[in-house]
Amino acid sequence: MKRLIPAAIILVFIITICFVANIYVNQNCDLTLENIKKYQNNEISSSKLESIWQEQKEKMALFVNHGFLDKITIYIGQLSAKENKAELDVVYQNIESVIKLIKAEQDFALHSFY
Amino acid sequence: MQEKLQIITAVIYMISTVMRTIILYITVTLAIRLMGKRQIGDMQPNELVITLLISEIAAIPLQDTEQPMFIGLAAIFVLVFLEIIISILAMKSFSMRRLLNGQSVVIIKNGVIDQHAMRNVRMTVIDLIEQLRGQDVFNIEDVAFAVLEVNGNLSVLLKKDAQTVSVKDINLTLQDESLPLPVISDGKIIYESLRSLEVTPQNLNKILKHKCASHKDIFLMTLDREGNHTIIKKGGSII
Repeated sequence: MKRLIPAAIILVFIITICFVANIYVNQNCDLTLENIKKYQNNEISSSKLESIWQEQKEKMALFVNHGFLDKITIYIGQLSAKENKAELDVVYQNIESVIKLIKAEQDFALHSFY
Repeated sequence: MQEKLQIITAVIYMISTVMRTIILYITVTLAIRLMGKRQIGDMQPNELVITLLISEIAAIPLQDTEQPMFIGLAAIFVLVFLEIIISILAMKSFSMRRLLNGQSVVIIKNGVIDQHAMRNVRMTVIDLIEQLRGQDVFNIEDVAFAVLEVNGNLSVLLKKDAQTVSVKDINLTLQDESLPLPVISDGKIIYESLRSLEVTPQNLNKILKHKCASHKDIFLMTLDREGNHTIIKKGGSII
């Protein structure tokens, strides 16, 4: 019985972190998309976008597959090199699809259990 | 420049692998400690499954550095929690214990092998004879009962005429044995052992003075409640 208490505390702690992480990752994903839209509308510069993303990436790396985050980093890096809107849209769609994958991974839907 | 960058990347990768290994080692050790102290051979089926799963899960973030470590850590602690819950349930409920761990099976009864039971537990005669030999039993007819325990060990009760004579059988009265504990190890006094034996450090010093020795010169000293002691000095001489 004396082992149950520390194990239960750790379990509750982990479940809490899981829920908080889920909300945090989803919020950050939406924020990233918003920031890219701002970049498209020339509201922020590419260097500002990259620095914001770096900060988000470091925190999200605790809970999200690093491969997905690296892909987004590469796509954000490509944004400044694209000049016309069509090319920017392709990169934006790529980022959006990776973010969808991250969100799907964090999803509490039944299909994510099997 | 390119080469320098490659070296820095490799070093960062190495450091992250080392850090992950240290964190996972500490976590798995903590998890196993929370589960309780048992040797692999003494594990119940559910404990063995949990231990195997923990080692597998711990290996994933080590092999795949793209995986966040939290996922591995969370899975390990969930498994530990499940193991503790299951062991508590098994402790409280007999039917739960039978469901999770199975039950002991009598393999030999009055020198006769129960072949049906052996088939049920998929045990061959060779396995049985090997296990009996491991218990210093070389003749099946000498066995009154042999029980295959849930952890795979074979417990053997010999027939009366095959059992070794005990002190009780010949009505001898002997003094109770007391457990000798190490009180000095590598020159250091183990105060916990002294407390268990209810011996004060002053009494220990008296024994050492009598032997003309200091605790710093002693490699190992054992002592029991009757005051019997063995002293091995550094260098190997017994005094």
